[in-house]
Amino acid sequence: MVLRFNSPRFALLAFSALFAAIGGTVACGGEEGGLRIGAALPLSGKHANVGGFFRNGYELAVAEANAAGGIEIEGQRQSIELVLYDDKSDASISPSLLERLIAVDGVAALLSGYSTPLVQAQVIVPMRRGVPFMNAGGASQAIFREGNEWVFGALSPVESLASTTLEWLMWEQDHDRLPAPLRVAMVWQNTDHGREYRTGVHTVIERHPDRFTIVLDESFEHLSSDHTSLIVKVRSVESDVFLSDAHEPDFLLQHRAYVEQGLNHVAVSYGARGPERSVREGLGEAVAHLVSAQWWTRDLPYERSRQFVELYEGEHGGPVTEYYPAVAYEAARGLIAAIARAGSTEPAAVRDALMALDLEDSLLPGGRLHFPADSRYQIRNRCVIVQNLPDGGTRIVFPPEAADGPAYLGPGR
Amino acid sequence: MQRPVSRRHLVWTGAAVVALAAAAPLLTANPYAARLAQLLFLNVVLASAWNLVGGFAGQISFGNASLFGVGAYATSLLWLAGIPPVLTMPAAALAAALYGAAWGWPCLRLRGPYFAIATIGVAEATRIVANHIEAAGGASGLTLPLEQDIGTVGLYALGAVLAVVAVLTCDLVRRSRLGLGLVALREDARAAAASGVNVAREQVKAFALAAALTGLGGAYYAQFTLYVVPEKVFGFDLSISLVLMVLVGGIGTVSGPVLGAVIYLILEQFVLASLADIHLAAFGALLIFIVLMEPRGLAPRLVQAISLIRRRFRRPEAGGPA
Amino acid sequence: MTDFLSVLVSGVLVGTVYAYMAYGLGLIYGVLRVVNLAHGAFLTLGVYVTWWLHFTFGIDPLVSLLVTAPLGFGLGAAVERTLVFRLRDSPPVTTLLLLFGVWLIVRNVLYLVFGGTDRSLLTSYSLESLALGPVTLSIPRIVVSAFSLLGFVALAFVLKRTWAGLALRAVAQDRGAAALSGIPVDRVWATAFGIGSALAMSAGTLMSLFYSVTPEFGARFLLKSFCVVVLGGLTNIGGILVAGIGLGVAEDLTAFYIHTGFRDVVSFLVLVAALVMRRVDAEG
Repeated sequence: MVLRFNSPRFALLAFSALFAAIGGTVACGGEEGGLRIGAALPLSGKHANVGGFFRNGYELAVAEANAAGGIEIEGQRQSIELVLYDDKSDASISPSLLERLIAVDGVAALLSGYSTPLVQAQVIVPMRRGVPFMNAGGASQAIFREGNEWVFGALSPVESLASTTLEWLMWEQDHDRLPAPLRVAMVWQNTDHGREYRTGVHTVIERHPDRFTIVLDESFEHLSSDHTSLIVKVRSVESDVFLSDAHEPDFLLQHRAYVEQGLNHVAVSYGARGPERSVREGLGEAVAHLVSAQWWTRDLPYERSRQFVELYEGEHGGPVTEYYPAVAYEAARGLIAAIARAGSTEPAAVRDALMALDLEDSLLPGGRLHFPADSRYQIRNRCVIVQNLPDGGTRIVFPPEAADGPAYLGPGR
Repeated sequence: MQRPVSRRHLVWTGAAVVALAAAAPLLTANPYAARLAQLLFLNVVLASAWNLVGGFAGQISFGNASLFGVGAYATSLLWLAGIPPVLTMPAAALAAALYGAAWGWPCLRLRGPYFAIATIGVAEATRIVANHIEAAGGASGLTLPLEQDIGTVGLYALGAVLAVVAVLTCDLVRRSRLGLGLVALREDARAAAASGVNVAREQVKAFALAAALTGLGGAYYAQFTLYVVPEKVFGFDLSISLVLMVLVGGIGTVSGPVLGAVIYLILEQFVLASLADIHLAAFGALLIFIVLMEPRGLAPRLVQAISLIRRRFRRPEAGGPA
Repeated sequence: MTDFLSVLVSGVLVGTVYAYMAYGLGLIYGVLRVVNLAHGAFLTLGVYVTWWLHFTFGIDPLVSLLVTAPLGFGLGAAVERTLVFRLRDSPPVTTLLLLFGVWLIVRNVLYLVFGGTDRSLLTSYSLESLALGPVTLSIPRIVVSAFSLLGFVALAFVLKRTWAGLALRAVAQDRGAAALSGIPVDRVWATAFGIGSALAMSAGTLMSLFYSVTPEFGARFLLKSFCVVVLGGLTNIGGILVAGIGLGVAEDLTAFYIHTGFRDVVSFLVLVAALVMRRVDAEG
């Protein structure tokens, strides 16, 4: 029998095959054997630039655990298998992939994707199904709903980026290196991230009204095609400090316009932006002295952090200038540690182990990984403030106990 | 004129309803299958709604996300105000229909690429404005209560009802005077106007109907995702996925959007999620393949296949009443 | 006043970029009556090729125009000859689907080759600026604007003064009549798609001077290009230039005097308003 793909017979065959595939995949759910953890990551689409870092971080933690002989589950040593899917940065696909990880792949626990909107959509699934979920990619506090007991956050809220930055400025004021009150011009991207950054700034300023005066508070849309007019606005308000919360493409355009328009501040910070390799690639010397708040930086003087840098750079080349793989690695490491302590893949046992977890050798600022119940199991660490050096390196300038030296402050107005 | 509802039509609808009901226990037992069913029903509703104007009247919209988002937000806001979500759905449909009529009225006078691009403009402007509405959570969106939902079976039933309603609406419109007017308009706008079709009014009517269905889709989406955010519910990606579904299935037919929704879901969930590194390319290649082989979509081919089988089975019992 | 002038000048400079990235889209629509959804793919490819040449060999972006433009022509003509050409008698929406497929494939290839991280490049003049009285002008932006005007002049010359341009315009006006009078329509289509893609890729090259790029780069500029092309009248190159500049200025003024977040709202609303008000001549 000749089968041409233009024939109705072919079409029917194709459809039957597709439906068989769907039925087969759904039916063969709950595969046994091995210990699995899974994640749906944005490996393509809007957040693909970060998704890859998360994959690297997760894979590293799993590989490390397996190299050490896996973990002991109910008296048997098992190696861990990491199952990853690509959600295309799409918030409606992402939860369905988590359902699939639970129902078809039979994972014992889940790791998060990246970006608050995607993680917000994801957390519904573990909360409904009662599966432990480790979040390394969504910093918003709104992710941790009231009554939450399945979602654990290894990433401090965005607000701590803002508040640590202001704490640093106040510390400089205390040491008479900066005047009070400081005139602050703040712009923020109109996303979840930017909105929480703004809240963080306002919260600190309400507590210390004598320290700061806000002279500009304006949002811009993510992925704007130009920022010159915004920078002209910043220029027109006369300020000492320029704070912006932007992601990379906007940061690049904004700082370009900043340099072109010849602005000067005693301190310039673009939220968490600054030390990335790709940024130096496009702006070179112009990023010198930028101050950024980081969830992690490779200069942190902790043993665990150094180990991670060595491992990661051995695998992927270096230097590792982004915080993403480190936090992802740490989150996965914490999850694996909790499963090992539970000695079981029973969801409730893993959850209880996560609630009780307190790793004293963390690579995160503060050196501790734990999930406090009073913040609905989201970690609350201070960030570190890092300044770019003219030669291409970075230096921690705050908090004082981790600092490598004093910050360089610009000439200002 | 044809009878609005034929007997065969009733039989098919009945069969579909029975099939959906029979599949319910199977699908709702497995949470993943339940989620797939929800997504499938949603896609069927949205694609059928898009087809009302895009297929019958030939007005290609890249802006249906604006209607979807209005529906999703209407339900979410009323829900947060304390009204059970299912009861908010008429309001969501109404809000979306009004919004659709409001911008459809001026824009539907445009045709071809002008209309298509105007819809992009409206949808993007809507998204950005929604980003600034603080009362609706701005760019952070709204988080909906986890405790109050209607359960897996409830969501399944609701989705099934919506999907059946959407397909029936499509079919009724196709047989109605409105449908004839729309098709006349698609084939030759001037001739349609000359032969007494009130071009503007017919299109706005159809568009408001499509908007209401799309708004219902949005309301449904809010109930199973429990989180709405402008970047997603007003996003361009959503709009374009509807166009793709209908084109793959078969534009201007009743079964096309349904088939397109099924194929789209299968591709997205099964073929692509496992091919992480090359899934965009695989999807792209498949689209190109379908377009080159079946530019009218896959539905006409499927219909042909079914009728072939029916002929096979009917041959022995020839001579029955027609 | 200084602020107003700064913003105005910035708007004009941005606007010329908008115009340049839209020429190709307009030309392809004019001749083939095809909305090129793969336009974003060519823009993105242009940036990446330029970035790669700069990163690997240190070639200046302006020099790599000599690579990206011909490459764009070749790729565009190839896409037309192998794919678009087959759908010439199908309903126009099918080509949308086809070209969307092309865009997906290109995006995937870029992910595989370059990964998803932001890439950007730095030249000796990237951050230079020129003080003109109270107004500061960025050198790369001036250069890009100059190229945009140059591109406009060259395109206008080709269309108005050469035989090839005559053939393009003839096919754009009436494909059947053009074929009857001996114009090789097939070749004209391939040429138009090629030129359109060459323009898109060279626009990408110029944009690499100030934008960072990921494989998703094309999406936001595709929407913006649509706006410009439609405002300019779809097929009118001069109109596109004026529309681009007008849009750039309108956006920057809105951003400065109303709210920065509303710059894109304005461009989209202007688009819809202009379309609806002009609907009489848009019926054709």
